[in-house]
Amino acid sequence: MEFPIVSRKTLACWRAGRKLSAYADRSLAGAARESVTAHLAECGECAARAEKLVQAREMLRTLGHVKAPRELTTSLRIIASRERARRVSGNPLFDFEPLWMRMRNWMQPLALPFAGGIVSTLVLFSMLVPGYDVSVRAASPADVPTAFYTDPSVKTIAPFAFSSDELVVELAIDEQGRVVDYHLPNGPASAPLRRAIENSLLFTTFTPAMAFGQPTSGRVRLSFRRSHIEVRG
Amino acid sequence: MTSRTSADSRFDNGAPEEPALADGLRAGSEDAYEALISRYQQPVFNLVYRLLEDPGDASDVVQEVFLKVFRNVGSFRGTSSLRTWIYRIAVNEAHNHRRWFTRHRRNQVGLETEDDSARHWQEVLSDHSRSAFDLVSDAETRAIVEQALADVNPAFRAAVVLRDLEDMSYEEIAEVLQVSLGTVKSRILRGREALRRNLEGRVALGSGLEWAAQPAE
Ligand SMILES: [Zn+2]
Repeated sequence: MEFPIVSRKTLACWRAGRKLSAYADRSLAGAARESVTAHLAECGECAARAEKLVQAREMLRTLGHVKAPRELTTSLRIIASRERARRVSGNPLFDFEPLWMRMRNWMQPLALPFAGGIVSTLVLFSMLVPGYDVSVRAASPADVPTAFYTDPSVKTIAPFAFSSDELVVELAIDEQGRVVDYHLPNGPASAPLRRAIENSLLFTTFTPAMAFGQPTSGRVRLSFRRSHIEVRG
Repeated sequence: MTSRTSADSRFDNGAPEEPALADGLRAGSEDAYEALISRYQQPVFNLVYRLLEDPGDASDVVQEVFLKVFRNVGSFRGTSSLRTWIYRIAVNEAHNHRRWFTRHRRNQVGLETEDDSARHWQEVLSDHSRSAFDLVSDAETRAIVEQALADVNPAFRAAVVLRDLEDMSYEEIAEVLQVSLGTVKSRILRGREALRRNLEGRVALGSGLEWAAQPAE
């Protein structure tokens, strides 16, 4: 039992003290409230204590809610999508063998340099989704000389369906190569398309940008274009 | 992309249809996952933010919380409400993170953190006891209250935050913290008294403030 500390521990003060929390946040009602009110009227010490508790509470409540960062929603959707897939597939191995790993396994017989990144990814992407091609353009920060800066690059990308002719997605990539946020510069997309994009981003991995030899955050722009089947060198 | 058209009216109409939401999560319904995120990410973030020593870690901890919620919703049996269950996970994750943080940082930093907070206070306050009305800006008051709260013992702080910032009932708090109702009351009282003491050193409470001494009904 945790006793409140009062300087004159009369029984009445002790009794009132046990109810002061509830009194201070107005959750005390009826006879209990009346008895505390009556004690406060005759005991200056408890009244002062109660007043300070009320003030502390009022001040605390001015803090309100701290707004969650915008990119948290994206992260949570990605987690949700992964977990949902796990639950729906009922396959616990899903966790350990995500799509990009299976894609890598398919690629090995082709002896494509996987670590080479975008070139092999482009080939793979067009193999899986004939009729689309994808190009990647990075937006380097202006304040780092290009000699000391390399843009983020795509390691793997998962295909997804979209109905318009072209789709551009700008991504913010953190220093660990994770997507922290995305943006559609050509205007808002429908909810199903956004979900498709987010699901695809779940399986998209990046090599982070490097500045002065250290991984750093960066931005990259992916454009997906509906096209006829084209053989790319 | 923060808001979403509410095609999922089953979960989004504001009514606390938590059993339906929990069933949807178990079934892997996309709408249920989305509804859970939109309903709980803000309050969970706020709670975690207030319980951590380094609020900069709040996003990471919130992601852990949601991962645990998604993974364990199958074993959630509805003896408590979904809300108190999620908050319980959040409080535990914040607690675990804080323990980890304390173990790993204390050795490295030593007493520097205390020096830092002392310097911080010197910057915020040029004068030891100013009344709340003398404070130049809301931002300053805010910083003072935030620091005063952060200095409260975490066990008491959790109870106070759940009560005063999340508006939970005493019974709900008892469920979240897995303690008795009496302990909840006592922790809230002690938490508020600690907060008041911390504030007293920094602003003059009880003098010239217009807050009602007796809260109105
Ligand atoms: Zn008294």
